[in-house]
Amino acid sequence: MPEGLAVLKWDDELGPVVAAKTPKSLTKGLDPTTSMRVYGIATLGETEESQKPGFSALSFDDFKLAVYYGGLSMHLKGLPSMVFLVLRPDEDPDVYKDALPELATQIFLNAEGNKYKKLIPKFFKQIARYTLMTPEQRQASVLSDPVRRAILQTLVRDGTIQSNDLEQIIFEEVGKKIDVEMVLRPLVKMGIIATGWVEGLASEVIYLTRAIFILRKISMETVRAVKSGGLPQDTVAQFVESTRRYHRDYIARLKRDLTDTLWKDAEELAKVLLDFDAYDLIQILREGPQQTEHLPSLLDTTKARLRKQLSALEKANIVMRVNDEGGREHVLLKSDPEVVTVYPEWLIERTVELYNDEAIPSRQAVHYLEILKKSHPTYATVTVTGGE
Amino acid sequence: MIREIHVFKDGQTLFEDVIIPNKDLDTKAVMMLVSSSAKKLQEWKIDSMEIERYRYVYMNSHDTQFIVTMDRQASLSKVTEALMNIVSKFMTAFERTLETDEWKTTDFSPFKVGFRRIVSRIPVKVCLAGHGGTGKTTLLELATMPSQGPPQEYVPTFFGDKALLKADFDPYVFSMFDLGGQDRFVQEWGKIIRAGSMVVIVTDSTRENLMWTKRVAYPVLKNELPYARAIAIANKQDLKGALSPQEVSRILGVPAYGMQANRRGFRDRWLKLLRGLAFEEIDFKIVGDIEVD
Repeated sequence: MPEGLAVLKWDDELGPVVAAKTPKSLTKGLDPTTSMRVYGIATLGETEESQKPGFSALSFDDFKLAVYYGGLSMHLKGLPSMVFLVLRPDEDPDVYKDALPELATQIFLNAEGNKYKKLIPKFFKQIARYTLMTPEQRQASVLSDPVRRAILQTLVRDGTIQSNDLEQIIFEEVGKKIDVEMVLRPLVKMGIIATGWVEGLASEVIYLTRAIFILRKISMETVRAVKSGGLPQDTVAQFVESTRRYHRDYIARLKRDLTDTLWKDAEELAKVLLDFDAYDLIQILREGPQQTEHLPSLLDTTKARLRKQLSALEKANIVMRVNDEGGREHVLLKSDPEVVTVYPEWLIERTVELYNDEAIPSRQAVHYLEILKKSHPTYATVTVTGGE
Repeated sequence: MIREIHVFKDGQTLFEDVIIPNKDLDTKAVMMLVSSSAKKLQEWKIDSMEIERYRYVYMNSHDTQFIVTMDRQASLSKVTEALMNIVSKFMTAFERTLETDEWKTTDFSPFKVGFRRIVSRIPVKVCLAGHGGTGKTTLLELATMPSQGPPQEYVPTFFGDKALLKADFDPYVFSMFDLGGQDRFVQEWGKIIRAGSMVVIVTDSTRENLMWTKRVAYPVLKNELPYARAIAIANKQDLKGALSPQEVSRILGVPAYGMQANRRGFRDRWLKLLRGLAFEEIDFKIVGDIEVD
């Protein structure tokens, strides 16, 4: 567990200044000499590359630092530009390699009006759990962020956009100017988008390479358990009827308004997947139904907290509770939220349409079609076969 | 670094406090020019103009013009904020007076205390520049850690170091930056020295080091801090063969002062030099005016 979290900014007269920290008593790593050195390490070098945002791990005599630097532009503007996680000497800073950049991004996005200061204790509490996130939760975290959701909605519709236009869309969505590059970074890392320069265009172009959604699946393990007779007959009937009705309705909603259903669900389901208590419960139920009375010990929680959790998940149509004739309560997955990424095949036609309507320049369209070709699943297979 | 303030109404001076007198320009003429610009400003709007190494930041409120003179090299955003603060404090105390004819007979001089308090909140940035091993860290510690005594062992500074210094500089507090002097760090100075009002060029008083200073350090300093004022320290005067301060001064083209930074007894002299540079009581040179062969 880290010893503390601190946010620093550069002040022209004072050098590095601690803008916020938790716990309040934290002093390690924050003395002028160390913080100056860390700024030095982060910005050392004349090339643009050396001054880009990035993670670094540093060891000192009696502590270690996991550091995320927000880049020279934030640094020179005097905005929060450095996030320190102070660690014990026996801890490995690399454990926070994924979590810290994400957390720092949230801090930088809340720089306006110093909003991040109030969030620091909450972020610090979350950091340890952040490192325990599954890949599925990491993907869900992208969809829980309203700015990134707005970007993905645009890209799922049109496939490609210039970064200037995207900045404008974000501005309209959230009412403030945001560093697009910072927001896009995790999406690039996850292989969901790609960025590149196209000759003749004034700003960088962003392309969707995989679309990301959260879908409600029928839990096959639950169906299998139900079918194999592991549950009393009356319970089975209640579950089958209820889940069938729900999924029929879900598919009808998807057919009626795919976009609205998907994005509303993405927001709600991402929140559920990122709630560690809810996620632990879903993970258990993915293996099969459980009796309510067994769950507190499996989840290491109290009955009261479990009841609250179950009610919330029931309301979100993720679990259902049914009673058998013996008075025992069973909990089953009614719909299993699953993060999926898919190849955006529909964007091939859409790109041609946009090109024909002169909504995007020809070079941008051609470049995107090339990218779609290269990222097509069959193209990858052909390349491997060709290599053999 | 705020140097002075002038408050005018109907062409009359209500209040003025000159911390560092301007010896280069005709202050009266400059104030006439700036106050005529200030009069045209909307209420609470701030603007500024630059003349040589000075920046005049001004504002108009209740038909009263507030003009603050600052070092052109220092950070404008902080002085702008300070001016807002000054005017709002002034108004809290004298708003009613200004709205009647009472201002013509009022003594505004008690405002000096409040003004100087605001001035003291903006640290004055001092950059110690020079090659590795010339004694920059020793000077920093000699000034800021008097009880510890100067370090006797040479440990190269990575990137830079900094410390606050409060001494006989009222109303100013100095923010001292020790710039890493290894060759690979000199090109990084630009990232650290912005808003530096004063530069102390530290040398070890050897010919080789002075040549390095002119060749490597000068271009960076002239590029980044052309309006800052500078002196040179002819350090290590106790070493055999050390060039005299006069010789150092002649070669560098900057007034140089002798020093033995590794001796605690030199602390007073060092603080006096810093004070002298800040209040312009000793000879100095403007960085942009330093001649390079």
